[in-house]
Amino acid sequence: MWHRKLLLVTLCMLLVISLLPVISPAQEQVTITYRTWEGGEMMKINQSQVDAFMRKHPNIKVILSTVPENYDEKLQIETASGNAPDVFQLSAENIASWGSRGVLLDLKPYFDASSDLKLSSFYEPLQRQYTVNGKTYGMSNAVEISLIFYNKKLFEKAGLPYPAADPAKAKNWLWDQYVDVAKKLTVVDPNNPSNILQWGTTTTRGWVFYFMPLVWSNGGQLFSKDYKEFLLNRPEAYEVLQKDADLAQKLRIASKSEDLQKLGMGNVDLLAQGKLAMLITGTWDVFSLSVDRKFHDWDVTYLPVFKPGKLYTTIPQSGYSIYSKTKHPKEAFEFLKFLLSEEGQLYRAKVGNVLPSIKSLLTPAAQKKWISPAIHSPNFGRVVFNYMRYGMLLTPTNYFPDNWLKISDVLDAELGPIWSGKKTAKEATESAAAKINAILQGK
Amino acid sequence: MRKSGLLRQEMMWGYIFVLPAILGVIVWTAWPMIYSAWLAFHKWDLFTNPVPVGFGNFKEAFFEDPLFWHSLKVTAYYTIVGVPLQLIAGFLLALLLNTKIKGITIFRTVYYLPSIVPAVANSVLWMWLLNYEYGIINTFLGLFGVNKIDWLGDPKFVLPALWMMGVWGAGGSMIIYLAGLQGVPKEFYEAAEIDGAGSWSKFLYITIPMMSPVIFFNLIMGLIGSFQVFTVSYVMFQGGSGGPENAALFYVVKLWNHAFRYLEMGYASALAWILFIIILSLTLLVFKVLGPQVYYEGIK
Repeated sequence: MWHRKLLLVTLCMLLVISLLPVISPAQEQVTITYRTWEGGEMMKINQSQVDAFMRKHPNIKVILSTVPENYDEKLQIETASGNAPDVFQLSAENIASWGSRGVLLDLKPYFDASSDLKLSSFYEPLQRQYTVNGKTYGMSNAVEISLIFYNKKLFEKAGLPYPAADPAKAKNWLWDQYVDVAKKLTVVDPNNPSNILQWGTTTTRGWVFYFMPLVWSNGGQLFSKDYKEFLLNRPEAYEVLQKDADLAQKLRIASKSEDLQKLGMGNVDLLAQGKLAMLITGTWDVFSLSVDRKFHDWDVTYLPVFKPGKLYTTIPQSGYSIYSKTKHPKEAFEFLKFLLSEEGQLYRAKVGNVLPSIKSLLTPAAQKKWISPAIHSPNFGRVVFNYMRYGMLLTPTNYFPDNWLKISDVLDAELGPIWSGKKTAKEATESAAAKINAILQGK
Repeated sequence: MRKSGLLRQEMMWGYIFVLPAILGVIVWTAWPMIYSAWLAFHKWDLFTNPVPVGFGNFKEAFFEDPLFWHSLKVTAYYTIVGVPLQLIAGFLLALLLNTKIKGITIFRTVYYLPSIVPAVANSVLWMWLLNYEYGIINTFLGLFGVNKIDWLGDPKFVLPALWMMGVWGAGGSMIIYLAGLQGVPKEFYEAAEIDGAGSWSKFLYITIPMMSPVIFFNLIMGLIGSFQVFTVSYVMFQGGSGGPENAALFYVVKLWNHAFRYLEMGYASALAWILFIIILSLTLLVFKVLGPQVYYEGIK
């Protein structure tokens, strides 16, 4: 008989357990899903961000998922079947094309109604880049700018003064002066002139985000104002590309991709190991140098200019958006706001991964909150705060138009021969112009 | 009466057993094919409703898109050289491994191994082998005084590098050849020996004709596979970039770019159908030209 009683007790218990969620008077819990592409160390930082948010909002549960490979593809298929995550990381290149197709929630009304975080709280160019026809389809949690990292020891060894941290001086640091400095910093093996022991300067050659500030400083443009014409085939633009390619091909003061292959290391390694004096890259390499490689003898400066006073930089970045079909837009926005708030942004800014995108952290007064000597260099704050004032967006539309990815693919393929010395910049930009103008004007 | 009942029951069970496979084909193959055929006549960005454009996508491919012809050329070049190389390498390997020496099974396993390495791992491995400074290939060539080659950075050498990779993976066809070789009746060779045939004549007049169906099979499969090459380029050249100066912008890589990066799923579908037609016609052509040369035992 006793086992029948046991069965009865078990059944009763099961009943109670199954009813518990119904009876319990706890606040209704909302679950939102959150997607990023960042694995490794950044995944941990993302999770601690999420945990901090959930502690503050016990009624919102956030589930973080990470997709390091085929990120856009997966997201596209999920949106096509109506199952995308509520909040996701998205490259700025996708904002307009996805937003105008109704995939992304317009955040403008939410920001307008928000009391603590407004659109105007963010670095100004981002407001423009994320707003398409009056609708705001996302916001960046971080800014990057392109600038020069230099190895201080190599400057000392060559008896050269450090490059300027003062923007007034940098505005007049002409290309030829920069080339002179780079020449002095190049060390050639006396027994074998083809063996270069130390490079003066280098970059990820051919990267549009790097060469455009130089082109702008010479009065050149990537596109016409109406975004109908490609303009790199104008002399003021292609001359810059040619001079830049010559650094590696003719002057041999900058490394070519073969040189890097020969050495079997990347630019950042070269800089950290004292085999490269100046590296043009983005602010994300703060993390690569200080954290990954524990190298601290570096500092930053501005890119040189072709014409005095014409100082520019670019601001590649990515941000977060909300799925337009989310069931919980209010909670999703609450979470997005946390990611974009001062508190949320400090998680990344502190480790040197990014610059914050919120204005309140981008002032000399606020720099103590995230700039630290253990991670950042002495001049970092000064250079970055000043340089950000000269940040420019790549396209005249501010946002990246639909055909941007196609154009940037053509650009990479067509301009490649310039950097490998197989074509002159004039020839290559001419051939690129024919193809890109067809995309801009056609269809 | 009872018998037909049993028969019917058996039939029912038969259908139930094959049902998963049939459903799989319908849901995962037939339906997507039909849908993509429909999409080929539409513009579709994956997000909004497809818009009909008639033959617009096909017109664009043939007359307006220079990269269409470029990618087709690259793919054809990859196939025309790569497939015969693989066929010959596989065949020679099979001949070597068809001998009776000690430990032959170990050799067979070793040579077969590369073809079970996943394509992504294979690509990453070869990126190391082809490395400019430390790669074993440049080191080896260096022994003969050959200058280092920038295999993956110089557009001229990208395809040769990929052909090499193809030869390395010839183990898959090798195993089929091997099975074919072992199916050649020994009596033929004995009879030929009695007639005074040397090893070259035996190879030419017995091995090759007897193996022709297997060679033919490998040729067709190689052709079909080669036209759809994707993973190598995708892994080695970061997504759909297509390598230096688009030297490895294979047809399917371009198709993928349109489908998932440029938001042109309709155009991508049209490209897929064009590829299907190309592969189908090529296969039929090969059947027509080489088919009559194939010797099928017992037939004809």
